[in-house]
Amino acid sequence: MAANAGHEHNGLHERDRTNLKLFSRWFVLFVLAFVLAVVFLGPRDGGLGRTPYWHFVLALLPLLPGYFASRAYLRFLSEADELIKCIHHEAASKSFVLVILLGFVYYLVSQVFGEWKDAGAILWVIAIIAYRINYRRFWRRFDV
Amino acid sequence: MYNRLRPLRTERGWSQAALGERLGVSRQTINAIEGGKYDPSLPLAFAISKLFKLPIERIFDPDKTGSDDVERASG
Repeated sequence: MAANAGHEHNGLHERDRTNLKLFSRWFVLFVLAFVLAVVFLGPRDGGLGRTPYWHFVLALLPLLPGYFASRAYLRFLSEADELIKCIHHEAASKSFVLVILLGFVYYLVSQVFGEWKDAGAILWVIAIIAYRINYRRFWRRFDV
Repeated sequence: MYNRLRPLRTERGWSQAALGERLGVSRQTINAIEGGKYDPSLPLAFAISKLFKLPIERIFDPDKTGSDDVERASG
């Protein structure tokens, strides 16, 4: 029983929880670096010659935690319990389809009302939220 | 796909979590297979077959649906 207590918590296998924790840490760092870059860089029209070098560093900063977050997520998926893997794939494919559809809708709407500069970022936020909702929905189907 | 996983497990007095532990999968996976909601992968089906020392076709039947529970519930 003690082994089982270590084996399962929140329905996830111990190995999956460890991998997911690693992904979460890198993802939080990625979001922080991204927000930092957006806040400090802001919209500028400096041109390459007049842009200070630390702006380039700041712009590239989110890439590092982003790379490690992606790697950790792929590792989580490849090693995950097969049902968890199936649920994640289903949630990812549905949110991907949603983003594609919304992208097309946005393109058509922008032809009428003009472009919205934050549309790209909002689309990704919608994708992440849709992913979480679909994951919860599919998980509930099996979590008894 | 029909399966006899639950009766085989309960015969041995194992919980879903204990069986999941032996097979390296979560309790939810075992629960979903027993409930006929999820068909296991080929490697997992072979691992189940090896664990219960039974041929796969004695545990799973692709020509029927559900599990022993579903069969019993429907009479």
